[in-house]
Amino acid sequence: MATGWMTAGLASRGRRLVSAAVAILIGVGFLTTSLVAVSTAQAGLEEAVAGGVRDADLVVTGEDGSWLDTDQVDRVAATPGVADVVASASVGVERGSGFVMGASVPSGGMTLLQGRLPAEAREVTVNRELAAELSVDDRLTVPTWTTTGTEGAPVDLTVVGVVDPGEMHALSYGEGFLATDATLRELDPLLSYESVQVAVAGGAAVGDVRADLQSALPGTVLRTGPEAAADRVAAMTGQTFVLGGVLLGFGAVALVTAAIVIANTFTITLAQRTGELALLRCVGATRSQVRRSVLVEAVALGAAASVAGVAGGIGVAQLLLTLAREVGIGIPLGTGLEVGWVSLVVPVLVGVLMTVLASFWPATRATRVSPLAALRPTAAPEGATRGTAVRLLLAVLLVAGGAGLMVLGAAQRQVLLGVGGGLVSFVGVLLAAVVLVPPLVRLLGVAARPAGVPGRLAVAGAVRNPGRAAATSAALLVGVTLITMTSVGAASGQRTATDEIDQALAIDLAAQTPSEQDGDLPVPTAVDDGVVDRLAAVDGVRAVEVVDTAYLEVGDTGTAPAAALSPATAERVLRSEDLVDALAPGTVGLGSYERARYGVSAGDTLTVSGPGGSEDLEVIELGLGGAGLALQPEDLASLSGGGTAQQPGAVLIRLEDSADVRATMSAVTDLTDEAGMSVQGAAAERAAITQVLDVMVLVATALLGVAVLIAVVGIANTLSLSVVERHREHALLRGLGLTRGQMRMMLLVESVLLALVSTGLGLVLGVVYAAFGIQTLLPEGTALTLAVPWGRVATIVGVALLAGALASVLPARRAARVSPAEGLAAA
Amino acid sequence: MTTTTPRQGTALAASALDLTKTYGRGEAAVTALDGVSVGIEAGRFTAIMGPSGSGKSTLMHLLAGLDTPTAGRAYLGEHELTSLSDAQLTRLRRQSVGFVFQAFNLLPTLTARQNIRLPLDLAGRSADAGWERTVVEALGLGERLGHRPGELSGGQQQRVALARALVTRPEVIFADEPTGALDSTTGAEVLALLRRSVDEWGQTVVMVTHDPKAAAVADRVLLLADGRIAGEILDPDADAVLAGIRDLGRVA
Ligand SMILES: Nc1ncnc2c1ncn2[C@@H]1O[C@H](COP(=O)(O)OP(=O)(O)OP(=O)(O)O)[C@@H](O)[C@H]1O
Ligand SMILES: [Mg+2]
Repeated sequence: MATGWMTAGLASRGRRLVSAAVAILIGVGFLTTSLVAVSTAQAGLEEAVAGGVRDADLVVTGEDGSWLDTDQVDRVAATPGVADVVASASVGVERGSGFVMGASVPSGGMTLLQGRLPAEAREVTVNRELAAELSVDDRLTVPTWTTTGTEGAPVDLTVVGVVDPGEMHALSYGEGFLATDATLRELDPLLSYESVQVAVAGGAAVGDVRADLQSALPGTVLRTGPEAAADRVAAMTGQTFVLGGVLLGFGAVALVTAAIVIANTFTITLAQRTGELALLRCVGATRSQVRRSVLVEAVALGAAASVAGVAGGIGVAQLLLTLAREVGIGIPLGTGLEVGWVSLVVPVLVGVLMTVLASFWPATRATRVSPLAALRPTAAPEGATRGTAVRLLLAVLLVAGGAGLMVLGAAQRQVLLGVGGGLVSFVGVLLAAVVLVPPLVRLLGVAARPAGVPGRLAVAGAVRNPGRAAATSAALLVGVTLITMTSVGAASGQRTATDEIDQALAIDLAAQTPSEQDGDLPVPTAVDDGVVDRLAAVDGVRAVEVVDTAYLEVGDTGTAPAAALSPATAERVLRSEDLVDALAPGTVGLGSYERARYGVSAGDTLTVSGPGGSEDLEVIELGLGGAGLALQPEDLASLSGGGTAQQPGAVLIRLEDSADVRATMSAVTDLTDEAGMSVQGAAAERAAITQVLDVMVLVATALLGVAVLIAVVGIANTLSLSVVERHREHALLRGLGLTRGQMRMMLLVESVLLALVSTGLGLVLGVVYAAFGIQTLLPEGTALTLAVPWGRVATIVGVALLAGALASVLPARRAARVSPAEGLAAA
Repeated sequence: MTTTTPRQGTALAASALDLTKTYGRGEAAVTALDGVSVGIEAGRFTAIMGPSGSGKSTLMHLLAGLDTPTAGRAYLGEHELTSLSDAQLTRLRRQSVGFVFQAFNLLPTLTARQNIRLPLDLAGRSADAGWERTVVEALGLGERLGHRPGELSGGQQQRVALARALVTRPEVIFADEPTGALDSTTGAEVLALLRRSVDEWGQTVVMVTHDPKAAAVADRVLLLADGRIAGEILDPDADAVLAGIRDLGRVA
């Protein structure tokens, strides 16, 4: 039984446990938000793909995903007992230079924005994209198809309304309209249908109608509405499943961090209560009673904080939902927040379980307090014990074993092996933190020397209790390691990808003039100087180089353009220095597309000939896209024979690293279109890869930020518990002349030191893990190129500094308030 | 600021003027000091005695600038303490006041030497090496400077605290029951050192004690009862002090 004295602790020590509660709250809140977000996305998706289907009595589809024709649909409608059919078809009709999509009116999921849905033939309700050009009562003239597939007479359609089709419909992207079945059939008599939803007449039995339909329509599949809905959802859930997996993975990281903070909090508060617990033992409490009192405290704390976490998590989810609707992220979120019992119960259970597990070890240690400890005034700080030695041995074994697994994983390209090794070794590092952190703090503490006595005291304070310092840093270590790993991994992945792009297409953009025919050989026209100047002036363009081009014969495959690329020019417009170095007379640069076309690879010989002669050139990997083969100016001149065959016919463009690629490219294209030039280049692809990886890193960092937040709470927690503990020391220091400012400085330095040490360790570990990870993921035979994004590393260190500083604010305020007289009076 | 006020027999190192300190409010209010006026002469050894709860520690804390009074004024040398800000008080403390407490005098993370130099380091002053050596040797701490408090005996810890108080050459050293936790031999040793610092180095010392034999070492004993000055014994011996305390009991 939990008697009064067992729970009394919670009430009186409530404030000391606040930070542990906050850690639980954040972790559980994150879990709840993830669960709610996933089930909301799932519900939205289900509603979008299956909402209309679910209410149908029967759904007819073709076998193996084939579509139904008009004849089959008519037979469905003619079957006795069928009251109504909703058949879904779509047709693409030409309009100007593009296509407009026409679709059947679905049974649900639409929002009518204006007017009404089509009821008569030749009435249409347009989507928002088309509504930008047409309004209600306007006419839309479109061509029709004939049964033979040729173009028939155009028809006039009348716009009767505007509709928002939702996110998962044929009209969700691009211009389109809804029309009755008759209209669609008029547009395309060969219309085919994805499915037909059947409403059974009042008197008829669904089973009978189903049998009748089955015999009337051989080769079709019949399902009830709910069955069809479930099938559609099953085909879609892969997406939410991945989303759920990712979010829950990050949730687990947050929870592990919270567990470290909780365990640390309990260890410290119990250490501070040693005297009290010993007194309990003196007056007759058994070991199991002491343990139970601690665990009761953990359950109560875990439950209270978890419930608060669930409430907070749902609040955040609601906020995110509102935000997502506002921004429009392309996931159907028509329904409200989906809060199932799973998202209510599971986080609370996880939170309580985690708190109890995290407090189990401290609780067990508390039972080892000897009754005699009550008689000793203060417990001496614990030194190295046999426990530490065992722990250290275990740590070494885990790190060594984990590293071995990672090496093996990298060698055999076994991702699971690598991940397992990473986890094992990380646990080892966390265990070893007890011996790693204090010396590192002392080392870094040298930098705190200028802070004078407060700096020196801060170093001493930080390493005073190695276990505590280690546990405090461990929480932050988790987050920093993962963030570093993601950043370095993404940067390296980006480099590998861009290396590949370089090999395919070395130039950001190449614009080329059209050719004129001069005898049997085409000749490039000269670039207009005005265009070159205007290209150079485009925002985001870094360098523009006009190069000579000529058309040459390549082997016996016909003519191809070739451009003169001197090393000096190349240096200004190419990104890769390696490529510039490879340029030499007697070489011909080909991109991967051209190499495949001519069936050659780097080092092979390619015969190139022109009006001036013929040469065997060595192939190097360097593509200029539309500008053609890359030759040295002297080679091009001798092959083309000089004269009019060689013209300044291409412009090579390099963009700024900071350029808005889309805007720059569109400005460049406008200019070249005007001048009749064509443009090609790697800029778009490069930008797309960079953007995808940037977004990925950003999202991962944001999600891992939750773990970092918990870790900061942990640092603040350890610090404020230490302030409680060192109350008298602080009073003594104040008495001896430590100013309030110096006191704050002392705690600031202590906090920042711990934060920086875990960040440093995290950076190193993150880079190492990233290296192993990339090596494991790379295809065999690819060289490992590790890219460390220094900007991001600097940001991480900066954030850690800031986090350390922030964590010290509240404890420092408390410590500065210690009155010198009060603290000493207690002596 | 001049810190080397001449230590003549009559100059006051510290004084209290109608000093009152009340803890708590309303019904729970406790008047720890009730209008105390007293002067502490420079270069002399003053002992404060009185029953438990009579306000001895409170008076000492107020005179040392460790706490602020509810009413009245406290002076340290020529500085009026109540008019100073916390930062000014702190600086004044590390410059002009030395402390020895009953227990918990030292920072456990610092060595004896670091503890001794702490007030100087905090003020950013460097130690007068000659003076420091004199103090350390006089207190017999030469061998122990590299040790941490946990590795020192109670008497050694009190001597380190005394060395810390002496090394800044403060205007006043305040000692609150410095021998309370020591056996009689070690206690006598510490008292002899305090006496010597007054006689040889002209130091001003104020000591709170419950031990009449300890008080007898002082030049003057102030008797406190119920937050008021209840008497004074000049050039005391143990018997006179005992008698004084017995009279106090009668008053209370
Ligand atoms: N921080 C405080 N809050 C409330 N009351 C206090 C506080 N400090 C002291 N007192 C009260 O003020 C009175 C004087 O206390 P003080 O510590 O000065 O006594 P003392 O003479 O030093 O006693 P002792 O010989 O036991 O050390 C006592 O009644 C005490 O209870
Ligand atoms: Mg006292």
